[in-house]
Parts: sequence; C-alpha cells; structure tokens
Amino acid sequence: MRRVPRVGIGGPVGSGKSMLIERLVPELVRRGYAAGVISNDVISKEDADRIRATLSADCTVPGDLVVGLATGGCPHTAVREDPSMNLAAIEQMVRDHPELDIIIIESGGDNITTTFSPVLADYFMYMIDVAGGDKYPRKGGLGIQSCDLLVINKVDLAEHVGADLDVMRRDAVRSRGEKPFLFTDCRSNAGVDEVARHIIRDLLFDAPPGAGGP
Amino acid sequence: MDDELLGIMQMSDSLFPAGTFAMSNGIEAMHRAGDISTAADLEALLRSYLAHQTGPSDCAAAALAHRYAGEGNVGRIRDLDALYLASKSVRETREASVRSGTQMLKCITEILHDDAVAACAEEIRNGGMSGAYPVSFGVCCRAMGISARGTAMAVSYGFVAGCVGAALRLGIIQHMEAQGIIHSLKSDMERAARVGCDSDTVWQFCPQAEILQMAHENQDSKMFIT
Repeated sequence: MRRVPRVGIGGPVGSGKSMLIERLVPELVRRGYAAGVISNDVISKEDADRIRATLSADCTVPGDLVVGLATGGCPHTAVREDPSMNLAAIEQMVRDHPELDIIIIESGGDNITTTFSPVLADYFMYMIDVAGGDKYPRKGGLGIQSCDLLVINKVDLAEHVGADLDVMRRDAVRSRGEKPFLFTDCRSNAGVDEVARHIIRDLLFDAPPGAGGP
Repeated sequence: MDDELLGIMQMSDSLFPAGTFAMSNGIEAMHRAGDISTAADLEALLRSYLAHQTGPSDCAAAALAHRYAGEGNVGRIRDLDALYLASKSVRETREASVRSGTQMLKCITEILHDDAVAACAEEIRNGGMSGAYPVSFGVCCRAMGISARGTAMAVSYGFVAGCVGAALRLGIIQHMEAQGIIHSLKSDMERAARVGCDSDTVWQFCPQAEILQMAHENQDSKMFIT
C-alpha cells in the first residue's frame, strides 16, 4: 500500500489544533491537495465531530475522511509508544481513499513531552498559544524542541494576556536553533497559508496534487 | 535463558503495541451507569468476567489457536476466528479486537518468521479471516515459544491488568488498590486459563455487560473505545 505523507499536530489542550486543521485543510484543498484527518482525543470524539461538521459543511472533504479515535485517556501513547490504532485507521482511510495526498493526525493532551512516532508521522508540528504565557518557548521540552515546525497561535490575544511576542520569538530561536516557527491567529486565518506552504515544501517536497497517484 | 517466561512477559506487557490501552472492557460504561464505584465492585466484576467470558472465550480462543497453529491447520484457525467474533455482540468490541489482533500479527511478523503467523497474515490480507485479538495472540505466542498454558495465563493476566489500569485512569480505584485487586484475583486468573486450555470451543455469557457496552458505543463523551 502506498504511504501517503502524514503530518502530526500535537500540543496542549486549547492551543488551537482543531481550528488550525479546520483552516489548513481548505487551504490545502484550494491548492488541489486531497486531505484526510485523524483526531486523537482524551475523552471524546468532540474535536473530530466538530472538524467533520466544519469541513463537510462546505464540501471541502467527505465526512468519512475525518476519523475520531478515543484513546483511553492516553493520546500521547497513541501517537508515540503504541501508534497501532492510528496506523490501522490510516490503512483503512487509504484503502477507502487512494486519491489522498496527505493525512493530518491530531493528538490532544496537555503534555509538553508529546512527540509523534516517525513510523506514524513524517512531519511533526507542535502548537502552543500565547495565552499559555510567553515563557512557553523558553521552557523547551521534547515537543517544542524536536518538532519540524513550531506554531505559536492566538497572537491576537498577546496584548490582553501580557504576552510579549518578541520574547517568544527570541526564546523560540534559542530553543530551536534554525528550525522554523510561525505566529498564527487561526481564528482570522492569519499565518495559515504560511503553515500550508511549509507543509507543501518540507513534507510534500513541492510535489503537485495527485503526484503519489492512487 | 528462560525463553518462555521472557516471551510471556513481553506478550502480556502493556508496552506491547496492540492498542489495548484504549479499551476498558465495559468498565467505563458500568462506572457511568453507577454499577461500579469501589474497588470491591471492580474485583467482583472481574471475578465474574474471568469465569463467564475471559476463561471460556478469550483464553479458550487463544489456547485453541495455539493448538491449531501447532497442527499447521489454518482452516481451523479461520473457523475459530469467525466463531469468536460471532459470539461478540458489541460492534466496538469486535472492531477493537480485530484492530489489535491484526497489529499484533504485524508486529510479530516484523521480529520473527513463523509459518502459521505468515499464513494468518496472508488470510487477513485476502479477507479469509479477520484476526481477532485472542486468536492472533494464540498464534503469535506459539511462534514466540510460549506453551498453550502460558498463552492462556498471559491472556487472563493481560485482561485483568488492562481493566485495572482503565479503572485507575477513570478514578474508580487508587494505585495501591489496583495491585491489591490483581493479587487477590490470581487464583481466578489461573482458573480462567485452565478452563481455556481444557476447552474445545468458545462461549461466553455476560449479557448485562454487553448491553451496557452497546450503550457506550453511542456516547459522545468517553475515554475508551470499549
């Protein structure tokens, strides 16, 4: 079976992972890429249901291309130590939709040690938000330091929560060296196109839609 | 080196990547229904499960699959797989069992070669069988050099440890109570394994648990698959 390129998106609860997916998928679809979504959740399929409702409302993706997985309270286990559930869901999704260009795997869980098994995800994004405090990039942790792309969301709230974006920018560089990071405000779509560009360049190597073929 | 003992430890370790950490085997549904709220409730439930489901169904399926794999009889493994799944009336239980069983076969295929494991993996690819968890477990344990009794013991221990772990995460019990329950159920686990090894078929009778799990399937907010 063809390996469809996979993006893992991890980060604390409430950082905006689901909304990023709701904004990112239409951006990818607009450029011609077919995308599927798997959402690992701590306690429900709430995120998957919301993403499905949002993305299928305007026919961006069929409803069966958004799958929710209940993970027994251990979403980080389901994407790192034992990704078997996710791998099985991916196999089923690719069998049903061989036209897919990309699969996005979301993992909830308030855990700065969250990382994705490379067996599961080819490209790993970690998402934090300014409301968590401008100390977050400085604290480091496996997710922040090792991810391929760090996304710092909700920049529109910075002035209201006393977060200094210059401090976050400086500390992100200190924590990550030359590895990229982006500021976003997913609610207004700010920065989402840049996230899509990173994925297309660094994961898909600028391959056109359908390049992997069914 | 005690290959069998090490094999049992590896196969029954929660680290083994078969996705079983996401199953509560009805514990979440029963807790929400108010049927389980203490360590004593949980222990009584697990004792009942071991007698009426784990022993005659899961341990039996694993021990029989172990035997048929030794005989090289893939046809009987296929029939056993179908019978086992037919006896499970809860859709999510069947699906989770198949998902874990197929992932287990894939993992063992990666680390060793065994004719029965390869034949079952091929049957699954061709749609000839589904690969229910205890059936795959029995085939894989035999490939790892584990006896039928050791296989059945690993099934009963894995079931209890998984349920106790789920109850711990649900906040029903605390960590010391978890170990106390496992310790006090050891003779029941051994009995379930013996029942499984002496069986020529699989059966179970736990209608209340199954009805609650059917309701669990449709709940919007839940931690566990089953």
